[in-house]
Amino acid sequence: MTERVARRGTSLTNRILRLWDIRARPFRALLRAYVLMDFRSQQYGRATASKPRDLVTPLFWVVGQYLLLSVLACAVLFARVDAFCFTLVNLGLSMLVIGTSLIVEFNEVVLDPEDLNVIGHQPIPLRTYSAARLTNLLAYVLLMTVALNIFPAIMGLGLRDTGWIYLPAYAAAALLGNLAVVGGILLLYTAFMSGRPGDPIREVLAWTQTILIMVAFYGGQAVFRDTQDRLEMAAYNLPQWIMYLPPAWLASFVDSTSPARAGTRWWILGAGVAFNIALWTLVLQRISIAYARMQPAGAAWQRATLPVLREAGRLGGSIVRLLARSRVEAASFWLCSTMLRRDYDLRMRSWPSLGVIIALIVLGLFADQLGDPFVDQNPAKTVLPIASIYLLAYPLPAIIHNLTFSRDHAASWILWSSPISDRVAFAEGIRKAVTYRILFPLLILLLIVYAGIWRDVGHALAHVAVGWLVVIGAGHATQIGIMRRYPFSSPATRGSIIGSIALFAGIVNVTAMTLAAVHYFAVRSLLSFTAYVVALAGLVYGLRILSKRVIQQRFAVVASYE
Amino acid sequence: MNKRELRTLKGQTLLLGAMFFASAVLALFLAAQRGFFEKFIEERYVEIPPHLKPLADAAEQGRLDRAAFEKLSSADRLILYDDWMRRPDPPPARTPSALVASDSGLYLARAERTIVSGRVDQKMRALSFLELAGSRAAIPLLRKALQWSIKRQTAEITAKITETLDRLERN
Repeated sequence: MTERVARRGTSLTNRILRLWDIRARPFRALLRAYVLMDFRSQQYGRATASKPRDLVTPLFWVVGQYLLLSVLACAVLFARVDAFCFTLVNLGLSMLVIGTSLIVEFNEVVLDPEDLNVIGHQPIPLRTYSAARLTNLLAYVLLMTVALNIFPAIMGLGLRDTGWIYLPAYAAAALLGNLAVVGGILLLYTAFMSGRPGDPIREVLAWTQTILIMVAFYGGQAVFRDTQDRLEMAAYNLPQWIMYLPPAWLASFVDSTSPARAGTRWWILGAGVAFNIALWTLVLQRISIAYARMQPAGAAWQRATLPVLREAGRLGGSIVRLLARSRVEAASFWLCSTMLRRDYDLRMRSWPSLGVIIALIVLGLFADQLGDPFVDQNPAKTVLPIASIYLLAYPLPAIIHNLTFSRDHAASWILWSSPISDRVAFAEGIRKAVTYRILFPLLILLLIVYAGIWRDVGHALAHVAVGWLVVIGAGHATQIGIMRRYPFSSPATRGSIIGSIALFAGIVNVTAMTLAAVHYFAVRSLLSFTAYVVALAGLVYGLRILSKRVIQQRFAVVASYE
Repeated sequence: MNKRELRTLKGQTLLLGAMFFASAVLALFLAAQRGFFEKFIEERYVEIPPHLKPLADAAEQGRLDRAAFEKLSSADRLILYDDWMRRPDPPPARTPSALVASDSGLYLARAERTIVSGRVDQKMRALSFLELAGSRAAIPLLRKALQWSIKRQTAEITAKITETLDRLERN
């Protein structure tokens, strides 16, 4: 034991640490703790629905998502564009994602005033603390850089216009670019902003890679379906302003290593290195000051007070009064609207279900496949606009089910002890909150898009009106099928969020798609379309009557909690 | 290594390392499959509808009805190009000059798109189109394509572009 300690004490690492006046044992202990925190990644833990003790940690999921994102981007670009464009897109993506990643995991990898609560009373010199923090930060940047660039760095070797030197050149460019982004963000926060990013921005950015994967997936499909070869032509005729962007400078360096180019632009690499040295000198200076000025519980504490609530008896504003038919309905409408506005977790769980519709519209716009079904009978042009309004049925069950869960679920005793006289009205308030707060704005967006593309407001209105019936019908179907418990009364546990309603959501989707097929044929004549809309309205009315009965019998009764 | 060991820092680091190694192997495999990816890079040409057939026949004879042509939308005009690209070898020799004389910008840009995003045989046919069109307006376009082709090391296309460029510059 003594020999082991003695050997450790004279190791090369220890000698280097001593040279920099860093104490080895606390440095090692802190570094180990920070790496553990990296694996647990609190913000990504929420976005990936994984827990600190899961075998597959949040960091593992994040690295996996970065690998997926980069392989998707490479698969779309590979062989279609030249080395410059391939490098430009991948470096740009890498720099964007590492920037968002750093902001999201700022506490874990850069600076967390809560550290002082744990280690403030320990005799750890500031220099040792700073060294552990910065070593962890650089290791984190390196890990993310590898995850984001391993595919483009190796796959790029297979391009027609690259040689073996592409691999080291790309790796150097990616590292320089990412270090510059990280350094820039650190300088921005430590020198000009409050020292750390706010929670809302971190919550939103935690979803960046998920959104980018969706963009790459759907965008890739758009590229493969595009008969106008827009990607290839955009790469062939790149606009001049692109050359003013930092990723383009680095891509230009990587591209200059191509065997067909006259000479390698080493000066770009040199300038990048010099810039990074200057930037990081400043960053280290600023961050050391930030570490030295850390106060226990300083900026880490969340706001203790919440906005002032409305007076009793005046719950909700004019929108609530307009939409709710009774005070009970208004109360649940207000409660759900407030929680949708206030609870980031809830919003983050709800938004992805809308992504498919938005992706479909973007895909249709890009591929010129948003034809007017009242005029055009070409299925290639009319399937997407029809599908877009029937897909509105899916978010209803997902979001209404999500309303059951909350991080503040323990406070649901208020609902249990409240005199809720009319269960149907209470359940209606929940449905209306989701319908009017989330899906109505989306329908308005669809109306604007279709009216603009079709140049016929009447057709767009008729089309979106069917979408409105779908939304109302899906809401009542959800009340019948899954609305059983008070909102926000359960903790969000893994698997319970989507798993338990997968079958019901599947049935709703299949029904909606069957109706979409009927719509496709009905829209060919005014008479059949009118008959179809009347039948659909009848179906929605039937669901409404049935939902009232089911809610009376099953909503928030003891049996629903057994 | 059991689950408990995998949950340790060392185990997790090993898991990450294994994932990176697998990714590197997959990336190497994909890099070697350029031929497979290039198979999907091709243009698809639509069949000519009956109402455009007389115009295509007239263009084949070098006598395009300008009045009828002016009435066509850009999409319909491009179908005449598609029709020429679909013809068996050798394609009609007079059509390119008739089409380019009627709408130079549209057809030169269309041929350029084929050179960029078509199959090798489609690129060759598009270069023949430009050569047969005999328009000097195609020269800058071909010079740019030549640089692009040299950089991408597509020797066959480079040779054909050089040949086409020579002929056009001599005219």
